[in-house]
Amino acid sequence: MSDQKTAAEMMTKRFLRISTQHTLREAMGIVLYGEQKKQDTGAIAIIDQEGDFAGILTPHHIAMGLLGDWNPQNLEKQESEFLDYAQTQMNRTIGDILPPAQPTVTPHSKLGVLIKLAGDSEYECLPVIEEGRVEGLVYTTDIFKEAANIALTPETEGIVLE
Amino acid sequence: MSSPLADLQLAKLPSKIGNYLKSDARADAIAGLTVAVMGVPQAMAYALIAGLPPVWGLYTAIVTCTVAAIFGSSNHLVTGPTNAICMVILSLTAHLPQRYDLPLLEIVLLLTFLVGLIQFLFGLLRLGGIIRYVSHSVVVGFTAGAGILIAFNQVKNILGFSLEGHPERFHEVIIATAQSLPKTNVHALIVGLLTIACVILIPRINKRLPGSLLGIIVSGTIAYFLGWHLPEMGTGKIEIVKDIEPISASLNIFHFPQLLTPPPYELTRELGLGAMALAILGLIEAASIARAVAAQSGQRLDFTKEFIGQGASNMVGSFFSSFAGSGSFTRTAVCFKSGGRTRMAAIFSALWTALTILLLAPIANYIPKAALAGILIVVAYTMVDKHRLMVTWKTGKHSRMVLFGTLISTLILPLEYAVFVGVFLSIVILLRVTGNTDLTQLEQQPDAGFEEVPFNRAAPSEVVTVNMEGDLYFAAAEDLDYELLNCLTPKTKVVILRMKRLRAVGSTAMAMLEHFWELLHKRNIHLVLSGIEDSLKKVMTGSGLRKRIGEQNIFYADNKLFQSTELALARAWSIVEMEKRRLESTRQSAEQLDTDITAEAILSPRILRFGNQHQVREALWLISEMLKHMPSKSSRPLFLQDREGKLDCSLTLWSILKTLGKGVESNEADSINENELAEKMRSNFSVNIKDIARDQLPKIGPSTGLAEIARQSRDHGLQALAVSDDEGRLKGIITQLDILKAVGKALDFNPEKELPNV
Repeated sequence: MSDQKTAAEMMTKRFLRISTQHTLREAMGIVLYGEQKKQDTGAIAIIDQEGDFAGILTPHHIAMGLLGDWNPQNLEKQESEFLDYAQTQMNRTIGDILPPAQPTVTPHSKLGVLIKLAGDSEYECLPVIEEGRVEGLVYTTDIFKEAANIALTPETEGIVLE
Repeated sequence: MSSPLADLQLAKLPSKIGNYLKSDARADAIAGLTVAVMGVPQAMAYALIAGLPPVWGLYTAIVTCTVAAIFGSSNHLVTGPTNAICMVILSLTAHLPQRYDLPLLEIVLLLTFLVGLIQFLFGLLRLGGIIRYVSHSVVVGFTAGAGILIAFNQVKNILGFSLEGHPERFHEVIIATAQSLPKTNVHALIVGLLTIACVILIPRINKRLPGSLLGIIVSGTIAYFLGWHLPEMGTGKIEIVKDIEPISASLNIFHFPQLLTPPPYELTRELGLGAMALAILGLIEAASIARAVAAQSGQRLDFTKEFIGQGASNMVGSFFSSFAGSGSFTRTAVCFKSGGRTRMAAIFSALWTALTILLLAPIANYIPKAALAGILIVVAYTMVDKHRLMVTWKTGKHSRMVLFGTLISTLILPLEYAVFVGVFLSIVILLRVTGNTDLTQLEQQPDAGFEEVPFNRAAPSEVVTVNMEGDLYFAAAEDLDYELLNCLTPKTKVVILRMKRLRAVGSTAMAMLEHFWELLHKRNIHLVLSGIEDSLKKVMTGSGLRKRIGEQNIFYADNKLFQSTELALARAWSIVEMEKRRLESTRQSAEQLDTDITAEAILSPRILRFGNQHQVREALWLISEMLKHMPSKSSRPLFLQDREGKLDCSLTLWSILKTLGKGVESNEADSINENELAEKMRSNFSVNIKDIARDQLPKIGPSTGLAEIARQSRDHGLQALAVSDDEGRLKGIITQLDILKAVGKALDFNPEKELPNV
């Protein structure tokens, strides 16, 4: 009869932090540089000017930030139109495009809570906050793996776990 | 290992007897009587086949039957004289008295003892399982052959003459019989035909009437009152049992076999091979009859015990004037059908037979030999099982060879050799059949199922799936590597070997597989294995092959049919796509194509294809397995295809987690323990993934441009997009990172330069 795993046990402690004042261009630089160096930059913690946690930035947010509410004027030339638009958007700050709501958890939050939270909306990860500081990120993929780990048993029909 | 004799459990006998008398004794006694009524004439007649006095058949039906029942395993097997065995006894011993100047009866007793000894040793050595490898066709063929022999051998008895000399071989018997035809005794012929008519017709009136018994009673009575058995009849006198050896109303039948003290070497040597054949034949007969009846009664047989029972019965029998016996098909069937419940039924039949001797010996002495011959002619006819012969003939080349090989050798060879021919043929064919690994190819159908097509007949495709079936031990593995190469076409990029139905895979097979892998490697073709069972996995790990082929290319057997093959196929197609992309990207960089960025150029083809008909449990497992092999922690959706292989919907990790979390109440999510949490999650395992997947995905084709892709992603709120071709087949996935990379590339964005100063 073991207790559920906690966020502290499941979180990734190596992650990037940048401020709301940085631009999309810089964020894109971080993501693509990380990609070149085979570093995982699927989620970046965003800190506001007071040093408090402000949100999580993913490639999805950056791409959507570049796109803004752009719509093609001329379908023939939409690609160059889009690229031009994206280039101007790159100068916006991260604070500008960050979605307002991002649930957070504490180091003591249990797996059950994490599963319920992750299922609520499509968050790449749940930041683990203690005293206003981001201690780590629990990725949805890690929650998923842990859920599979405890729910699947070798006896579960049709499944052979290695 | 316990001794096969140990389970007699003598200590428990008294209480067992009490229980037995209460429950089964009555049923067994009645079944035993029914068996005896049919068995007495049969036993006497069979002795006649072996050229022995009919009373010996009765002794055998008493002693051999009882001992076999005590030590055997089957509840219904009735052991005793059988037609085929008697025919072999005749073939083995008929010529010996003259040669060795010994009484036939003593020779037969020695033979019987040897047969019992061999069978007993078979039992002690636990060779019971061996019988399984003797094809049923041998039994059918041998019985039919013996039936033909018996019929022709009895013609003389029914016609009331004896043959000149001792013709043994089939053709000799026919010729000698034909030459003696003028000596036909009409009285004997009448008795014989009358008996035949009774045996055939009486059971038609009522199935419960014992045809054989009534047959000899009717014909015997008529012959007796007409005085045909009296010496005064001259050439018209018919032979009766008394003339062969009188039956006396006593059971003082113990007789120590004189030839056992000590056995004459030369004779024993000559009998040895025949005894072996007889022992094997007896065991095959007894085992297959016991098995046939056990299949109906549901009893679980112990063949080791059965062998010991058969061996003991013949050894003991040789001390009580009995000849070698075995399981009798007709008497066993009657025992079962008339309600016999335990082995006591057979013992009762022996008791009733003994009672017959005591009470009816004076009458039995007047049974005409021709009447017994009449019974045998009918028996011989039924031994040629026309229906079985037809079925076996149609079953296939191998059964046909065994069946008719055995049948013909019974007619042309001494019978004991025919037994060996049959056993030899079935072993050869067993080795041939199992020595083959059957290869077929699997073609994936539009409805996502598989169709098995003959090897080397599948339409050319990048991915070739070969299904291997049968045994892969050393004899079968040879040359298989080169044979497998035949499935390759110029188009082939990946070969999948489905190995689920393989057995007996050894080191030769591993060497063969490794060589096959090397041959493919030289041709730049990938090898993927599917359906690998635990035993095979062990062998593969041990031989290092698992490492060489690569874990990502090996898919382990699952309880679900074709699951691992489906995964292997997904893997194979992703290899094909990867190869294509590599080719294309080298070509593109060489040609510096147009600036328009299309979906095809930015998609990643490494995706799992998964059917939409699965359940959450399977998706949970599949994705968690996939995540183990992915360096990135980003959540990628799983795109599902319908039964036609077309892109249907997308399944996200979030929707699976949401489904799993449904079983958990918000207020308890924190407080329950891990087991409870797991249990609650499992309550939603059987949800269909199609029900929680997202459909109406935007249509992104290979030629869709970057701007359109980005817009669709925004408008549909999707974190990743699926690219499919004109036929709806999934080609790849585009993530937001792919879009960013494409934008960066188009704008000559240098990430390193743009990094913030932190």
